[in-house]
Amino acid sequence: MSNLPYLVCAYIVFWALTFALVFSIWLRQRRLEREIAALAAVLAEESGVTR
Amino acid sequence: MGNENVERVRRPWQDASGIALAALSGVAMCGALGMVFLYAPREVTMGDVQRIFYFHVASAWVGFFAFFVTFLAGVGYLVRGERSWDILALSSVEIGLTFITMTVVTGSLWARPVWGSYWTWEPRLTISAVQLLIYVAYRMLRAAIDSPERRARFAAVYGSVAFVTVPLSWFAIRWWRTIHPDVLTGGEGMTITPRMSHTLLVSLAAFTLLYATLLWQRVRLERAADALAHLRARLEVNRLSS
Amino acid sequence: MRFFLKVWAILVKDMAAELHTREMISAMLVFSILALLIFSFALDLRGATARAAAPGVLWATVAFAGTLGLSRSLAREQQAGCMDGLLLAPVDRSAIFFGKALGNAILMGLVEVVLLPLFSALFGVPLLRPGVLLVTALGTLGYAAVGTLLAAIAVNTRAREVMLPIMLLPLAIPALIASVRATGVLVEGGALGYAMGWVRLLVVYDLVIVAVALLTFGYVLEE
Repeated sequence: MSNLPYLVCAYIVFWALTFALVFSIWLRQRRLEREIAALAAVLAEESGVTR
Repeated sequence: MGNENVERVRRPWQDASGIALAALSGVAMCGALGMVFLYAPREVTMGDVQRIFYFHVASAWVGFFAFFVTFLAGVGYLVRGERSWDILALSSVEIGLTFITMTVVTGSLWARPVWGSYWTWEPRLTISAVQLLIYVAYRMLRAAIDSPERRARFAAVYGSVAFVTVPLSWFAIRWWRTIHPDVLTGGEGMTITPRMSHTLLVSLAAFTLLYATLLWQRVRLERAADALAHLRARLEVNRLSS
Repeated sequence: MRFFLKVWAILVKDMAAELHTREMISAMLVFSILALLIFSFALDLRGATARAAAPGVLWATVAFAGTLGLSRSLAREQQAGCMDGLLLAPVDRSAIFFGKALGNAILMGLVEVVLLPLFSALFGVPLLRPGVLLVTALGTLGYAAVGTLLAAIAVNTRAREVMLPIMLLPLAIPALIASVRATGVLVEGGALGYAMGWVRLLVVYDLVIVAVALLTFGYVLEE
């Protein structure tokens, strides 16, 4: 029974690492989205200029 | 050409397969968790701490499987030369590294209450640690090369050699440990009942689904990054030519 | 036959270059002796402890000294522009691999020629037995083979001296464990038969490594 802290800790580790990975991927996806939006804006501007 | 990838990452809710996978693994995980805590019996010698075993073994399995996928993807890249193989390899490494870290940490947390120390050089745990170090070396190698083509090629070669040594390391470590067994550890010390086997199988399935989900997302991310880089290059070309 | 001639040519070239300067072998030797000293102090190696630790200390020393030689061997090629010359010449990639790997193995062997008697004297272990020599040869060949392949990769990275040990050591584990264990058994007076399992593992390791290296070395060298 006194071993329960280890059990809890282990499961926290499982979830923490999983969510760390998910969060990391999500953050990078968001950054990518922002850059894509910026690029799209630039492209639109430039095609507007050259018309 | 790259625009679809770019658009896909902008609209995650349209990624049907990704969502389906995520939902499936979510359900499987809940199921596995339920079984671990409610269905599986309390182990005779170790008590409730033994419940770490299910997710610990499952993450070890995924850690090794991810390495296998990296190996295959590396060979695929060397043979085919297409970037998609390289994307698969690097994505699998990232996911695999996470899972093998889980394996080592939870294995250590399990060892302490059961066998008295955080590290017992138990063969399965040791080989997981070795795999972790190889994963890290792989990542460092990729980070140390500037040319994308070279990076893919060298990583593929390293991944292949590395993977091939893992079974050999496994045997070496196991024989080393059987000749000099720890007086404390001895054997597993765990009695396995049918219910425990069921729980383990479900855990393995759940973790495999989770791996697939995460792998898919990571691959998507990399493809979109590639597409973005491509668009940028096209923009440069347009600017230079106008 | 021509294949062996090519291998021989590359080997001779490497050995001649090394004999000319002797910089690598002296560096490896000095490093090994320093490592031996550090181990002795750090682990307080005397008497029975020393005898038990001898195989391990020997192979740890050989492994680390080996990385010195390996990275220098391929770095030197790159610096002098020899690698491009080799690649332009009509030489089979596998011949290049064998030539360089054997060269590296021989260099390590020369260091071991000094280390084995030294260790025997210092630790009081009979390392100069045929069984131990066989194990040493097999272990060195495997380590040199995988090391040559990885050094060819590492030399093209940013932090080349650092990358090689990081990549190499996890992959050398089977060879290191097998060599240390086999040497330990033989040194305690066990017959070669007893150590056979370990020797078999070493042979399998060497064969597997060489096979993979032959398949992939070309990809490392291609530009």
